[in-house]
Amino acid sequence: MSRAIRLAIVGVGEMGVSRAVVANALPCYELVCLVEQSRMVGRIAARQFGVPCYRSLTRAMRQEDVDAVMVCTPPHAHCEVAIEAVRAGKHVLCEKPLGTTLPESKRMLEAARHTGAVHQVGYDMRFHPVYAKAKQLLDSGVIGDVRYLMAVAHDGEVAERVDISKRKDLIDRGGLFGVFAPHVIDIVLWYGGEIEELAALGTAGNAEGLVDFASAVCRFRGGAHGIVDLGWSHHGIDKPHFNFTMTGTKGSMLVETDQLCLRLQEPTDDFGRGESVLYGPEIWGRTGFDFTGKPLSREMEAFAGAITSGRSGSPSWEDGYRVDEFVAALKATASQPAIVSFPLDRDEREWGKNDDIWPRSECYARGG
Amino acid sequence: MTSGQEVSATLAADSERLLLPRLMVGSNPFQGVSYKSEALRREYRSRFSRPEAILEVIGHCLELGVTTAHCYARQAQVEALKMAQARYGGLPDTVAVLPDVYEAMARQTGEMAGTATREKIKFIVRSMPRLVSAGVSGNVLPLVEEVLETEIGLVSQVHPRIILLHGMLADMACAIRHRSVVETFIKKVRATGAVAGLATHNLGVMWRNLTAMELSVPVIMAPFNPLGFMMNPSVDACLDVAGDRGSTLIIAKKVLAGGVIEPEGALRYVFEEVGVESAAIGVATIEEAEKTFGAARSILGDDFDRRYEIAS
Repeated sequence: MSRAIRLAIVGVGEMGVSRAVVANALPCYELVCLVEQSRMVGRIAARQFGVPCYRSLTRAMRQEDVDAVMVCTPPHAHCEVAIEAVRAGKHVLCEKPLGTTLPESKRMLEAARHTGAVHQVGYDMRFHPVYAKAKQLLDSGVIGDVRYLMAVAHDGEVAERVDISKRKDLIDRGGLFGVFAPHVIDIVLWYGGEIEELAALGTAGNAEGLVDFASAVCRFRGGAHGIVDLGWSHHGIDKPHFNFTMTGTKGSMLVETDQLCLRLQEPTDDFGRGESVLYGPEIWGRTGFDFTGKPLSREMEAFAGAITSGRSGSPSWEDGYRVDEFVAALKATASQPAIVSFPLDRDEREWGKNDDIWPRSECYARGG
Repeated sequence: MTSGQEVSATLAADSERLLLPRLMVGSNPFQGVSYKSEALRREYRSRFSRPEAILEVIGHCLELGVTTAHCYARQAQVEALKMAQARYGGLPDTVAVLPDVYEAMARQTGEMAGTATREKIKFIVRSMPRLVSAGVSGNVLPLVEEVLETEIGLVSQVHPRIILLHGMLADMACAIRHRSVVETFIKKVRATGAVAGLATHNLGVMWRNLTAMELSVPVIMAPFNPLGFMMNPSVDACLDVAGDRGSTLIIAKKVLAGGVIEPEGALRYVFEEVGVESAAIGVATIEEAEKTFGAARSILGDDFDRRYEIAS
């Protein structure tokens, strides 16, 4: 495809508008229309972005020549909108999480597999230069075969929270498991590969019994030992911290937002023996439009690149499904301790009926 | 070491004129910003919550001949600059970047750190893209105006010569060609007697859209460094703008690429290769100030004290 990708954005909330701003700035996209159910918001957005705004994707695709769709609706609408778009042969970038239930995610994945469309899920942390560099180094084998991976993600999102409406919003979006966990889990699976088994513990850190802390111990298919520690109610944190530690047969790698630290037993072509630190600015690279310091534009450039080159999207909906699967197991074992084996869909009775990955009731810890 | 009184006698002569200096003290450390580690951010936030700590650094920079300081509308920074101006005969001159949305809204709700307020502010900030994009018809401009008025009120205590629109808002307004946000900002700043400019992390895109909107600004602050850190959409595009920008003056930021490169090479790049008029460099300690601005003096020589007329 030599011309700009003709893009429709569904849902004009925070993410939809941010993506529309970025699409306006990136030459690889031509924003052709918006889709928004609210008439008032749609009218304002249409005027601002200078494109028509429709109330349904069906109508938008009938009226406009669209190559790709970005699904930026609330999660409960992802499945139907995204499936409609891929079935119409459009390339689709869907915000995270993929679906709100495992069967939904599975349906989306199946629909996409049969169309040949590029499908991508909005786990944009993969496009952060430091996390991306870490993946590149892992794949190059610089620390050898990974034997241990620990992910620690802490935030102060709900510490001392008193705003009931905000808390309700967080619960509606799936609590810790829906709002905070998926981005971290995506990186864990990207770095560590598929999971074989997992057990977890969840605990409330507040009077309402909402799960604020969840920790999992897991085994990756390659045999590596995994630890995932999530908590969003720590005090004195105003920005989330995401730290990953990997130890392999040749060295260790510590990754955080600003820097990547390698500790190698033997020198390589690029790094000496012992400790080497790479800071973010040294590996930042360029993007067509940096917006709010987040890797949104890099993610959208990668989606466009996959479309124009005929490559698969990454992270794909398959990756999105794996995250949903991990989160479902994490949440289930956080409240009812057990060891869970993967893939979960081997046992449809257990995981197919209790549909909701993030039902409100299960955002709460035992006894909460 | 020169005393504060001697510094003011030597340097106060230029302080009444609307000129752009070669160097200014950046404010990132005072804001608690670091591109190196969370630990450093925490240390900056803690240390520079006290105006006296900021004053110590700025005072030393003045003694090194750097007579302009960059600031956000934060109480500690404004207090420190007021203390410095009282001590050093009106110096440093200031260049402000607005809005600092979190702080502005905390002030508007009458408290600085209450949990409920912080949550409301976070919610509003998260909604900013949507709010700003809604534009005049969505009744957002009054909100932007209110924030700007509050912040201008705070920074006017230190008489800024130049006020820049924050990169997030400036980039967004330019990307969607929201001319009224830029024009409102320029009008409000001019009413204070200061020069209005724009900050950006996307110089190439901003320049293209300013040209399309037939808007020009006298000063733009944009990243320039030898690593190309935050020079978007490409180093070449940013260098093209730097090479063909008419009367617009450029203040380079991110000169040391978040503190990961040495001052000498970075300063040679921005002044000798790119040819910007000015550079804002944040320093967190007296040692950093001496190293950075000492290197600048040796590279620039007599040009260190040069000032550029800003087109009206």
